[in-house]
Amino acid sequence: MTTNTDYSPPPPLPPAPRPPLRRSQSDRVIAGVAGGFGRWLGIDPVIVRVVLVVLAVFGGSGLLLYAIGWLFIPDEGSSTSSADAFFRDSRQQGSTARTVLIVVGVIVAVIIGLNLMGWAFGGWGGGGSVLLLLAVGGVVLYLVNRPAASTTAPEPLADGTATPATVPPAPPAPVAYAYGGSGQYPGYAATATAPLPPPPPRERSYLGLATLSLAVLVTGVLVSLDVTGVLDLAPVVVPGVALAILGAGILIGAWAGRARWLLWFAIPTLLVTVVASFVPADLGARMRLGVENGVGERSWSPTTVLEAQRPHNLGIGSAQLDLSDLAIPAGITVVPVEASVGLGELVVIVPDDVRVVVDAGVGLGELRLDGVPRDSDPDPAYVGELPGGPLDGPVIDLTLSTDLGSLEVSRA
Amino acid sequence: MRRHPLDVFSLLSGLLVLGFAVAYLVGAATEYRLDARLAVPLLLVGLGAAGLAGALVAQRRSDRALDDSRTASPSP
Repeated sequence: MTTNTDYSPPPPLPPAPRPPLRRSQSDRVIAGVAGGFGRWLGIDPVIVRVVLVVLAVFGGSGLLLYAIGWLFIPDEGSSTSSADAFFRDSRQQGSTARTVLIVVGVIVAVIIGLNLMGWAFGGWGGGGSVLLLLAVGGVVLYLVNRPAASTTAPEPLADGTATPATVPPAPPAPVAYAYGGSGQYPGYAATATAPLPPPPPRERSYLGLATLSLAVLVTGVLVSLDVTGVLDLAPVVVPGVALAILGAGILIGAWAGRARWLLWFAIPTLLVTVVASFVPADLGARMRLGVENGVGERSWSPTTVLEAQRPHNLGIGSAQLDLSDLAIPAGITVVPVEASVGLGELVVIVPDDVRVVVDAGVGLGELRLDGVPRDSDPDPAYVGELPGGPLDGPVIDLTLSTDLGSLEVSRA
Repeated sequence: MRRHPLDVFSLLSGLLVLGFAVAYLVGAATEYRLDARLAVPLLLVGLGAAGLAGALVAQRRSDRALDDSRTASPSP
């Protein structure tokens, strides 16, 4: 046995620098995007391919991402991407690339505009516009951070040596990166001649933490005062006040301290505020009423005026009020009928040979009259005559409401 | 907490968040209510504009700092 007293472990290897993101030459199915990206991430390219194919099948974004990668990631052994060459050409007046760029820009702007308008006026189905906005944001980031000098510098190889040039290369232009990197990527290190002075150490800022704590504290106090009955607050006030505090903190960070990360709290708080703005102030009372009115399915089919005039209320669930068999005796001019559902669905069927006047409101949801959505407001309402009936005769006077859900009136 | 050069992104996004808060708090006191379907698109537009303005200003400052450092110590 020998002693290992003078044994010392070998010094740890310096961490290998991450290779630059390049499209793979050796591992490619189409253009090497997945192969290169997988190697850059240090994962099996098959995983990248599966994700891309899944994204391509569901919604097609995989195809878009692959095309973006093809355009913007340089090929292996090169430092310029197709997009770099394209934008270099596009600086020249009257070049084809410039024309293409302008046309594409206009098309993208129009698509985004239409998407936003559809989003604003036609409901929520805006997944496509989010993807488009992300894509446009990526292009903007690329344009801001793109290495300006790489088009004039000699093409460096991946191991950092420059290709032998037959003519002496032009003196490289300075490069400034927002992330201050100079030397991580061999291809870029070759062009950086005047390194920026090291940034001053960042002062720790507690502005964000203080703001967040204040918002949490105030929220707790407001809720306590509300539930103990000291204050009577509309539901939107609590998240609204928290949102105001977060916004003020971010705003102070514009001049002193840092609080940008509060946005990650402000955005969910805003969404809560939007939803809370639809919650009626007397939600608690309504919930109690809802439970008293019962849960489940209801089907009412009154045949006499007396039955029809009883209240038809359901707390939570699905209710159908069928008035098509209602017999209205001669001499009666108005039959008032009331029905309400707290949370769920209310369907009212009226005979097609009787005048019907409707006073219907939905707190948050959808109102349909004879199968036609009333309007696209989140809180639709309708007061007036239901179309399609006779011009005279007795009137069924409907007073209908759904707090949260759908309400439909249709003729038999 | 020391003052620093104006952070354009914080300025614009802070104003945006504060604006939403005021709109909804005013809405709670009055009949006015911001169209909920516009909240998310407005948020995207506002954050995008704030990020764009912040990036452009930061880029200009970075370029200027580089120019200054080059004129202060010209490289051989």
